[in-house]
Amino acid sequence: MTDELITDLLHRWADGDLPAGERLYARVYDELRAVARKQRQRWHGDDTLETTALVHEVYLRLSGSGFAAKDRAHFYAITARATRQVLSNYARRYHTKKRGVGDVAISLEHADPRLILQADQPHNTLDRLWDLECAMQQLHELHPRPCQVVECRYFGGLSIPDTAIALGISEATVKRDWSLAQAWLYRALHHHAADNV
Amino acid sequence: MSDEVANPYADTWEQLATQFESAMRVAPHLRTAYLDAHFEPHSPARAELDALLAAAEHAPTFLNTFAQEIIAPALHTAIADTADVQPGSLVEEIEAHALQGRFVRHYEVRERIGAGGMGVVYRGYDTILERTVALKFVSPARIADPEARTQLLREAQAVSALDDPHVCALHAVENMDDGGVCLVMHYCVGGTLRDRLKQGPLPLAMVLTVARQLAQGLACAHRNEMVHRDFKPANVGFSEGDVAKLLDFGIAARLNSTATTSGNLAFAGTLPYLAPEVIKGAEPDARADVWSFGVTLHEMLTGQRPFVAATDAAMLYAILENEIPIPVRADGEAIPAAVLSLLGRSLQRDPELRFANGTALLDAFSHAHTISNAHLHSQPKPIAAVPAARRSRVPAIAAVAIALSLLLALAAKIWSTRERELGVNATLPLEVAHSGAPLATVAVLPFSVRGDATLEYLREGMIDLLTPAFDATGLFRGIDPNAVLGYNASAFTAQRAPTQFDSANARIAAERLGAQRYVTGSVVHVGDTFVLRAAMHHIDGAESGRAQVVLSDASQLPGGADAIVRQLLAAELSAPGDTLSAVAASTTTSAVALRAFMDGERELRDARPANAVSYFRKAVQADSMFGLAWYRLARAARWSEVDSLSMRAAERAFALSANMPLRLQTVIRAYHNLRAGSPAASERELRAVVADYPTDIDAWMLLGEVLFESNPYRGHPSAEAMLPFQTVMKLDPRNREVTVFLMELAARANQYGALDTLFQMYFRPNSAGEQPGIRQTYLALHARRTQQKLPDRATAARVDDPLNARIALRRIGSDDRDLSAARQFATTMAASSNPPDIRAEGLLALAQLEVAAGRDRDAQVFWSATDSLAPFATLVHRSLSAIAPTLPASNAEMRRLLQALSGRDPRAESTPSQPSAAERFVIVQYLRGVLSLQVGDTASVQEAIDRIVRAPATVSAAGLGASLHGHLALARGACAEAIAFFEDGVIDAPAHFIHTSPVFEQFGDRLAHADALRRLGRYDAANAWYASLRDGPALWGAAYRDISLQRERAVQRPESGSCR
Repeated sequence: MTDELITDLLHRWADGDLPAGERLYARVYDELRAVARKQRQRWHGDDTLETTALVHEVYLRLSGSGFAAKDRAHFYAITARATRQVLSNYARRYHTKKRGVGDVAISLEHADPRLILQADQPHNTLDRLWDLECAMQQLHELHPRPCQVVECRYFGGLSIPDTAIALGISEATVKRDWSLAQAWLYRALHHHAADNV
Repeated sequence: MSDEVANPYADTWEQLATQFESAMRVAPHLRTAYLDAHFEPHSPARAELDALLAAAEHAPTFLNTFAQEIIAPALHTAIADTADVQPGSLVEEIEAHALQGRFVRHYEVRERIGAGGMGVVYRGYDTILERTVALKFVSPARIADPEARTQLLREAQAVSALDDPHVCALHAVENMDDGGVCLVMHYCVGGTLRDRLKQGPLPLAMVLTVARQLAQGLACAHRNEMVHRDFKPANVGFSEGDVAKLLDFGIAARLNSTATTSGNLAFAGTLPYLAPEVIKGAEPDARADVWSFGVTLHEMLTGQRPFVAATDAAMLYAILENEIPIPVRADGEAIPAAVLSLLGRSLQRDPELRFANGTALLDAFSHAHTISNAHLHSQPKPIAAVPAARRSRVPAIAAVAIALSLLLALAAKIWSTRERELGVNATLPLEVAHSGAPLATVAVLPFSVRGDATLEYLREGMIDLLTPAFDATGLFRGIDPNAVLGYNASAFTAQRAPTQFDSANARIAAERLGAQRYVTGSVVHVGDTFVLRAAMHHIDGAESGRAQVVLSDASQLPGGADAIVRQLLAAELSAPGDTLSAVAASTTTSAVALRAFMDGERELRDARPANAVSYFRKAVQADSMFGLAWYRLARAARWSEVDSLSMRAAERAFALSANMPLRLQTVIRAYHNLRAGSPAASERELRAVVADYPTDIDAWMLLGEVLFESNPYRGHPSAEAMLPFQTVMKLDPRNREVTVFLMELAARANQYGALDTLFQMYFRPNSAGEQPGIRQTYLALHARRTQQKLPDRATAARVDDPLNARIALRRIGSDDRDLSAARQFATTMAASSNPPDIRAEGLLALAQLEVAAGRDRDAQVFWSATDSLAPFATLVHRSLSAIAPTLPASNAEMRRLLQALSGRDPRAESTPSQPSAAERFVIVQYLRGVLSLQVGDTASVQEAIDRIVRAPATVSAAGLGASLHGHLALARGACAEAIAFFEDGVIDAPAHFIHTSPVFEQFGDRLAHADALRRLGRYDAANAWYASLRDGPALWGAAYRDISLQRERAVQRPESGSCR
């Protein structure tokens, strides 16, 4: 697809065309996975992925150069959401599986070995990722806006001005939300950790 | 994002964030002192803040570490998965993932293309035949039971034996080492029907092609005694060239029913497509497939399934009980009657009434196809097509040989007409279902013939002529002429001297023949003309109508017979009062169209606009030049909120009106003006019509609508519509359409006694086909007002469907003192699952309610939510609120808005919705003008006016430009000049246009206009304009309610402002 189409989708989405947003999101999501897979191959799987680098490469691949600042911000925001989605899907799958293992004793030979290995550790990555996702959901219930701010800043690496543009709110609001949301998440995650011990 | 609307914590967060920010600004060592000074020491709020402030110290480091140690590696692993899968199918996915790149016999497994209930599907490559195939892996668990396995293999064999281009070929079944099975199938490159329906309904031509192909596929399977069991769009694939193919015959459903259940519902198939009898426990048969086909066809036509429900239980109920809606295409394209008929017969709840199988379906399709072709290239049928038995009826007398051949040609024509029209309509179950009774039977009895012995053949010939003509209307079923003639051979034989057929005998004959109506008549030859006369009677002897035509020669007999039937029909069906039926009968030559028109009129009068739309559509389909039907279609479509269709139909009616009677021309022009031109012109035209024709119900109704819709914007009370509406009510007491308007007017005038009476008249138990939004609006109003539970339909008082909520919200003017209802409707619309335009409208309404209550901050919350949904509308609302009397904005805020407006050229924006880009440009300039005025920048006001003047003219440009002039003049204190400008500033445009932007409702302009009048001491005029601010739908004017009341009361004490 051409650059123009992405921009077009972006505009339509920004103007409230939700199906356009969904298609855009689907494309970004696919692209994100493709880029991430490639980066992983490039690094022979022995290095960590930077989410911001990831988002940036997706942006470069899809955008070309015809993006206005506002479009770019919107684009980053949607990529950030896709990143969060990739992670939360992954965590949720594992979480469901883990519960499944306990509840109905599915034969372990069919399960993902990665999951089984990780399940042996008390505070494994996936549990903590799941905690983060739960905390994000709680935050969203409390107020969706700070949750979106966290998505942009934390999962997408957007600057404060870009976040403000992407969400259509003032920079002051972004700062205020971001500052409180960090503290809020820290506390929520420590609560979760305490519950799990 | 409904949480933004009803979120009880949203305020908490804002408050907390502000406090947190303030506390963080204080240096850490002073923080405790600061908190002590501002908060109760042991309050929950203080504790919360303390905890968060403590967390803030570690939060950034913690989150950074978290990102590096948890998120990055997790992302790493997460993306290793090839695709997203549902939580439950992970095991299968991993299992099947291992297959990629492997071989199953000579099939190479390539990438995964999907997963269904029964397993994963891969694209594969047949290395021997060198073609792409689909490989479906059924996991061992699914077929662990030997019986299930045998069953699967047997069905697979049966499917592979099916030879039809529209059944997806099953090439092979391979056993896997692990005990699973791999089905090798044709690969559908074009995706599934489900994928395509996600984009909305298909083009009509494509629907017909695909549906026909699917019928063919089903027919092939049913002939081979195969039942699909899970027919649905997801099981229809497209191969090259968009050839539709049925997938997963029998197998998927069989497997799913043995291996899985969906929730508590344990039957094969997919719930929304399940036939009612299957839900009740019957074993699915071919007829169940036909039902599922019907559901799929409905979905292809409209993009929606016929039954929509949020839960499984509600879906079950809907399939078993709900009325089956008549499909209407959003693009306004008419669905051919033949297709409607076919759909209707596929969606009969009683399987006995449905097409028996795919073959019957396919036959009907072929028939429907011939019919639509026949409409295009109408070929007269050869005489040989007339049944031999019919020919022998007519006496072969040499003298009438010519007339005889004429008659035969005529009979052939009528029979072919009957084939064409009756073939569709007589079996049309929708009609039967909606008219509530089976077709009335009519017996045409022998005519008397006088004046010419050579015309004696017409004595029985008229039976042959008129019976099929009655059949062709689709309203009557003619008693077979053979039966009539055979009834009493001795009484009716031609050998006997023609006697006058007396009325008692006729009635007895008809009764014995089982007819509900009978027709008698005469043919009289006088000089050079034939006079055909006929009368139709009810079986009790009462005459229901008479008809007469005069013909100059026998060649006009065909037209004469049709005319007789049309006249009888019109008389039979005509409505009370001075209605359009007589005109209708004379402006169409198609009996089918006329009949559909009459049905439509009945539905419209009975406030069932959706049904009316479908009947009028049928009418214009049968006769596309039937201008009157186009006009009524426009009216019905408007009523059922299909604006695009309404506009198109109105245009068409207007274009066709030149050949109509003058009065009708005027009415249609007035309607066109009301919808697309100038309401003022419309009012003038209609007043002229009702002056000349005081019983023209339609003109009175339209006049009422003009006054009702447009008066408030013109400074007149909408209550002026009361008289026209009451006139309609007097002329046609059964008209329910008008009760809706009268209810609204009664509510606006707080005449609750009248409201209750009207309410009783409107709310009949049977609500099928009514506009549900309107019904629910008034039920809700009534329930709130009477504070009592309605006996039977209490639940309907809640408006929980977004579209109905929109209608309710737009009409909520009925209750301007109780905006809680508006809030409820708006909240329903704002739910995150709704389409963005509805959400935005709901959220903006919620913001508007906050503005009206003077709660700026709460309004801001909603606006920030709509900003991404509808940025332009949000900006407009913000700007209008800034100048609203309840919420005067600070100068700083106004400057911010001005800046936002000046950075905008909406002509360059690609917002698809209304108002148009050119109108949006005018709106922006107007808003810049009024805001500049507020901050005292008159130069910018002038600049805005100049821009409006220079821009290409739009509907609103002149009015809004003049209004800005008016505001400027008023600011200078030049009241008379201001008034003149404001008078020019009234936008004379249809309500439909006015409602596309709140700017066009001109609340601010009207207030200023009234103020100017008041300052000049023209109190009555001023009061009329003040009152107009509280007239009409209350929501958008809510911010002007109090101030208009105050100023109206204070009008005797003019303020001291000086005026020149």
